[in-house]
Amino acid sequence: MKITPIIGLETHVELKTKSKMFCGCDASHFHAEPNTHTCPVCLGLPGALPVPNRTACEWDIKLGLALHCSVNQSSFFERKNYFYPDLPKGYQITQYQKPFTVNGYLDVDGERIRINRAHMEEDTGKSQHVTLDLQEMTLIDYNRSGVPLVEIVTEPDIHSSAIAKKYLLKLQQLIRYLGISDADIEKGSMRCEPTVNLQIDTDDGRTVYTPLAEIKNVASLTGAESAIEYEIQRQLAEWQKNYVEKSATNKTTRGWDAEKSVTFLQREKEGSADYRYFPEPDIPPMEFSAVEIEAIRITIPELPEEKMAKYKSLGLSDYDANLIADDIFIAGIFEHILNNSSDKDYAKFIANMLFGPLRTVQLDPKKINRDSFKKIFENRRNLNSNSIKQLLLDSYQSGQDPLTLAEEKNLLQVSDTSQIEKFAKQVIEANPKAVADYQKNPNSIGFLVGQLMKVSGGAANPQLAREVLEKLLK
Amino acid sequence: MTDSKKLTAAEVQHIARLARLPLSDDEISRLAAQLSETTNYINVLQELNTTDILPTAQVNHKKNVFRSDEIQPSLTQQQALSTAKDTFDGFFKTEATITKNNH
Repeated sequence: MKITPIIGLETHVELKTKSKMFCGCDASHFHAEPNTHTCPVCLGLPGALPVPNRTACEWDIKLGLALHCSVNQSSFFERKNYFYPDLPKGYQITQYQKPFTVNGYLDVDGERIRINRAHMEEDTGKSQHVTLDLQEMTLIDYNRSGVPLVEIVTEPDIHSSAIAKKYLLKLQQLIRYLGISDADIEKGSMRCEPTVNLQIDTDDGRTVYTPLAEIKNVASLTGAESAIEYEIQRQLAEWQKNYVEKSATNKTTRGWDAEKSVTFLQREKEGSADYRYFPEPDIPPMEFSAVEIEAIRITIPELPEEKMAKYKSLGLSDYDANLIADDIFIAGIFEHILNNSSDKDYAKFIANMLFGPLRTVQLDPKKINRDSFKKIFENRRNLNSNSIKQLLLDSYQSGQDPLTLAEEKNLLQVSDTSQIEKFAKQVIEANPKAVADYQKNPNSIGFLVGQLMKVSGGAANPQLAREVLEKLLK
Repeated sequence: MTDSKKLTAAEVQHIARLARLPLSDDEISRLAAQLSETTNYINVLQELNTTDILPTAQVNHKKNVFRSDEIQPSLTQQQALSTAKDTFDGFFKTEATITKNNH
């Protein structure tokens, strides 16, 4: 028997526009007083007229383009009808037949995950299930109602929980690069709903599929991974018990209980016909010209993969290149300091500094002075590694010129060979026994280097001191 | 004329559930007849030949009506809650949508 998990992911991402999708209410809702960012449109009051937020539509297209989707130049919104208290109109305004963008992909670990669509819709209100005076009830805050939401739907191309997690991480990184959402899973601005079933190739040569289950309430990356893993095992056990196969009507919705680490049956899933989609009569259709789409495309910044390749061509290790490209903020600082230089040593130096001494401080791009980096780099042979760290941090924090600081603190080493030769001759003369030892055992040179450092008052470049001594004693 | 169809009790019950309407057996059989009549009447439209007709979702011939991303004042919490049937501590309050029994 061979088990192949089949996983598709629906991911919802709240856009960080200033205002909501169809009205001018403030779209930020995290930590706001309940029901203070609402109006007749997002409360679903009769007679209200929704008008789409142009920026949100453009951002949806921008994400679609970054996912290699094609853009439907003509599209329109539709009503998805269902009753639930967090949806005050009785329908969600979404896209169904003509989403803004379709048919893209995202490559994860060399595997191509096809993207079915990235469409525009609105978020619902937020429900809280509580017990008051022994009565269970639901409390609703409509601040989130009508916040712009992009739904990214994959084809069922994912075959393990590990790849699902990597897909989510990569999607999150992409969205953050585009600057259209915080995509914070813990805060709920990115939410994912895996749909899972199994392909079972039985020993007697049959191929069967277990019923589809869509998993809700996944609130963390680890949660997504565990929920999928649990569901794979549950479906396998279920099939071994009752041999029920997938049918057109037996898809279910299951909730993820993070505390108990189990999924539980929520409701039988409505079929798409039950949603009675129809074109939203209140919002005229939309058209984006090829020129407008190109204007959106050029706002897409250089993406992580391109940055990675660029950094590797600068001689950085895979590890360093990945670490820098991973976060657009760090990548921005790195490139600002590098200032288009193609000097591989300099690139490596900056990477070492960013992940070494500067790791400990809260980096403020305004305080970063690339000239300081350059000066320290150019004088690196006259500075020991501790001095480099110290100068970098001090000049970053005080804004002072690093070379002035180095002189003040007497950190510059003597790298003048003729000066070091003078010291070396002095040391050789004063230490005949150590010289004799060295002739017998070259490993004992450390003592002579130490003496030279002492004579120079600690200012000699130790590497150079060693080289000069070795040359003179040859 | 298209074939007239009669909705089954199960179909009526399903539609009622989507609309969150509790129906008695009596109502179901009465509504099955009435709803069938309605859908059969609408089915008359299916007889029209629409091969060369584009779908019409809008009759006002407008397109691209957008707003720019600017914040406008919202209602106060008090105003927002003023027409609610029940409230609690700034929230709209409803019957439990998920109860512990679901677990």
